[in-house]
Amino acid sequence: MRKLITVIAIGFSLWLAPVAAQTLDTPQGDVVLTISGDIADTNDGNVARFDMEMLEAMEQVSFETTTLWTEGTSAFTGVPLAALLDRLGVTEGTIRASAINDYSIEIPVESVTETAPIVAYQLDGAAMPRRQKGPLWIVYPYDSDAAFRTEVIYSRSIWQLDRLEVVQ
Amino acid sequence: MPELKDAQLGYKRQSRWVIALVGFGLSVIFILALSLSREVMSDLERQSSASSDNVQWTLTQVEVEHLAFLTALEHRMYDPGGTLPFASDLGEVRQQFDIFYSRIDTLQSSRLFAELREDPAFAQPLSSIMSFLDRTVPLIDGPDERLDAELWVIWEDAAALRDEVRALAIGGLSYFAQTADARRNDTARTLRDLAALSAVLLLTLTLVSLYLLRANQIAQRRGNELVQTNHRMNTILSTSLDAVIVSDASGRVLEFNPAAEATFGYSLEEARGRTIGELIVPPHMREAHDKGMKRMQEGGERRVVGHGRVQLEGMRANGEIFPVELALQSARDGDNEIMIGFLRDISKRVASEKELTSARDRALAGEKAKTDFLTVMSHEIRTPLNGLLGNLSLLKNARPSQEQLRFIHNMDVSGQVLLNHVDTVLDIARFEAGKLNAKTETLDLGTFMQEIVDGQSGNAASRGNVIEWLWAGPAHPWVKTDTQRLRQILLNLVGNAIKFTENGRISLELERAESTADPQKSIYEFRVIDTGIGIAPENLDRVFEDFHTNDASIGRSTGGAGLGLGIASRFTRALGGEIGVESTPGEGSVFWIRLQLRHAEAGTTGLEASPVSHVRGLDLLVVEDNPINLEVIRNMLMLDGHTVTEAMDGKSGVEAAGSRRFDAILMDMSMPVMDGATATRLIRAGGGPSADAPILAVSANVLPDAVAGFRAAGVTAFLGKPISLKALRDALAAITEADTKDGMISVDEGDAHLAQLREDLGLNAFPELVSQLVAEGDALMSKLARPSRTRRALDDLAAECHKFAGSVAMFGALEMRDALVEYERAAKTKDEGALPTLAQRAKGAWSRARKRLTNTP
Repeated sequence: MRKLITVIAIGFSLWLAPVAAQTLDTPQGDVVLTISGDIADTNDGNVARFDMEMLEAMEQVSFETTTLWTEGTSAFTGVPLAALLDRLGVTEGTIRASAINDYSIEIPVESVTETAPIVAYQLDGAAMPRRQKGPLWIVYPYDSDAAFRTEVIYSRSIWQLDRLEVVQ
Repeated sequence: MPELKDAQLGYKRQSRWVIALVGFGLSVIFILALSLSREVMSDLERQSSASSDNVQWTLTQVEVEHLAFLTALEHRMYDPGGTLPFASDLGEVRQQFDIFYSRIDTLQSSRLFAELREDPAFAQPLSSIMSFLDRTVPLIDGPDERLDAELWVIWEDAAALRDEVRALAIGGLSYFAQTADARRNDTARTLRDLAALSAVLLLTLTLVSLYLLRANQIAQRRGNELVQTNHRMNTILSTSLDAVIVSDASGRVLEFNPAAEATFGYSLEEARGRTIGELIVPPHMREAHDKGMKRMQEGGERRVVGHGRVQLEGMRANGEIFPVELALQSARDGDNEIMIGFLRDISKRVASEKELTSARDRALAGEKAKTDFLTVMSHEIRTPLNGLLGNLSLLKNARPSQEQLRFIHNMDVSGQVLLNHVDTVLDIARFEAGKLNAKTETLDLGTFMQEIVDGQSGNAASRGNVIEWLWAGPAHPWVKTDTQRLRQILLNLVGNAIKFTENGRISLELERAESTADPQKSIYEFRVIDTGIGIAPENLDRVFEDFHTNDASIGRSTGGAGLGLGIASRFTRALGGEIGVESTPGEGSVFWIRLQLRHAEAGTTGLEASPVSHVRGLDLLVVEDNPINLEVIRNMLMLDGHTVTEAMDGKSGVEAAGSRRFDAILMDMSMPVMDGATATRLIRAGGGPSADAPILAVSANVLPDAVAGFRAAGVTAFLGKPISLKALRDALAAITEADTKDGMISVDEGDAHLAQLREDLGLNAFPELVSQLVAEGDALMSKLARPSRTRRALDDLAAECHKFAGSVAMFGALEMRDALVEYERAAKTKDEGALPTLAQRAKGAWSRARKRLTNTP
């Protein structure tokens, strides 16, 4: 019995080891994004909270594109949704994204690629204020592929994002 | 086959054309459909995804977020410290403001609403809201105390926007509803167009399918027909009796039918792919064959192809060479030329042709042998007979006793019979050659019958038979007929009767049976009745056939050739009569002939035109190599008081004729050293004193061709051996008579005329004129002797003859004038064959006229 407990303990320690190594920092500034649901890492109870600094520390992707909602070509910078999911050990399921006005849409995990969409936090090199769809906006590189110019993708382009929930 | 091929080609061309057309049409429709589809796709894209996002949601959200802002304000105003959700802090107010601001900002800046912003119904409230936001932002962004203080003002201001917010939402909604409608209509139209185009496409495809179905059916039917034709052709080829070989242009065998296999001994498998040359052309013809093939391939002349049937040699597998008949044709098989050869093994035909040819050659050789035999017999039998009969006729003149005379007569009759046999055989030859001409003579049938009975009495008596003749009915003895042939017929019938009768009776009956349509003629029936063995009924029809003897033993014992009745039958038919026989075996036979004979005046017998008188005292040259015959002729001539000069061969004869003038020359034609024909030509051409003397050809060769040859050599008349005194006299009279007669007349008339002329001209002028005339005449005669045969020269000669004829007529030489007029006519009409004879006549006439003129005292 002890032996079994030891084995399980070792297995647990082996499983937990990398997680422990990547344990999320605790946000120092204002929390801009709260991720809940079926995630492998948390920093506040069973949710993971991110301030802007944490997001900016993560992998960064930039692209230029036009959008339906802005004038002219805009340069977006942000963390790929895929990197965010990876960081939290999410490999399947659906992401339910919600905005501050409680607008909410679902993004299947398998539709997320390495670079699209990104959770943008900069527009044309500046942080996005809440009055201009900030501070976080899920955007796709619409101009790069017709596949990003569909109603579904447009509906997923949620601005004033503040919550992600991973559901099965 | 070529027709079919053409039809196929035509069909192919047509279908290619149709396919091209249909392809083009389909392409056009396809491109149209594609572009329409793209339009539909883009419409769909536009609708489904492209520009829309959820604009309606966005618009309604304006109202919601406006209310949420108001609510946040109210909660702050009325229950600032209360618990949520009915309480609100300033953060909540600020957030709701930002949310509302962000929404309006979206409407203000998003290109989704660009068109909508053009609409004043939308732009005006939007602008009101924007100005509210802009004037509120300093308060929202200001310090909390100030915001709290101004909350009421902000609420009032925001609440006053309620109608604008509503107008904004509704205006946007109706706009987007209209655009959506328009877009739907647009899409619907595009879809309708697409549907119509699809229908056209479908219809076209259906039509194309139908066409292809039909084309396929036609192709299948053609294919079936082709298969059938092919099958038929194969059947024809395989059942053809002729070998059929098909090769390509280089001579390689493509097809080799069963007949070819049988003929040449190769199977189709062996033959296919090999060349015609090595297969069936014999080695000795191969070079020529190869040359021909090469010439043909180079497009040169085609000597065999398309030239019908040619006969060549072929070779079988075992090397046997045999004759073939070949017809070669070329045809087009697609782009290649092929040769089709039809070959027939004609070795059997060639063999039978050869056999026929050799049979014909043998027959011709036989015919020639027969002619040769007849010629020889004619000559070899006639020559001794000449001596025999000639001496007999001389003997008659040697004052024999009455008894001797009777023997001589009998011998003479038998000799004549023998001569008749020879003549008969020759007559058959001539008859067969269509050259037998009936000679009409006046005949006393009584004497004629008596002569036959007399001639045959010895023969009949030798077999114990009695022979007699009688008129049945009244006697009408005088007729005109071919005596020689009639005698031959009766002699043959009598001879036959004697042959088959022993110790019996042969009766000859003669009856003038009936009149004919021509009152000058009557039917005479001659019957030869015997009491012999008779003829079996089954043989009656055959007795008149050549070489027919009923009983071989009798035939041999009696020595007949079986020709007698055949000749009798032929001659009867030649005389226009009928012949027949009735017989009772053991009792005897009756042979009868019925002839239509012309009545004649009594008392004149012999050749109608021949003179009965004979000339005497002529100066004659006899050229004859046979001493006996020479003596016979000499004696006969001397009996009539002629002077005879002899020559033993042609050469001596020519010399003698050149030495002086003879009244006539008797020329044997068959002689050593120089024959009669050559001698005659030399005498005629020599221009000697006797050059124009009458020449009488004497020959045992009486065949028409021979006689014609003698005449061509220049003889005046012909006398066949053996010579009888009578025939000799007649012939001499005939050849000299014309001269004598004409001479007599011309002497009578001419002399009187001449005397008158001399009197008129006077003694001095006359001899001068005569000598001039003689000189002219001599010159003309030498021209006539060797006339130039050109047309011009003949015309000149004719003119000269005409002129001289006038001159001699003045001097009374009418014979000469007549001869020249004749010559002139012949020269003008180019009757060249007559010229030598006429020249001869003119020459004779001239020599007499000249003599008279110059002898004139």
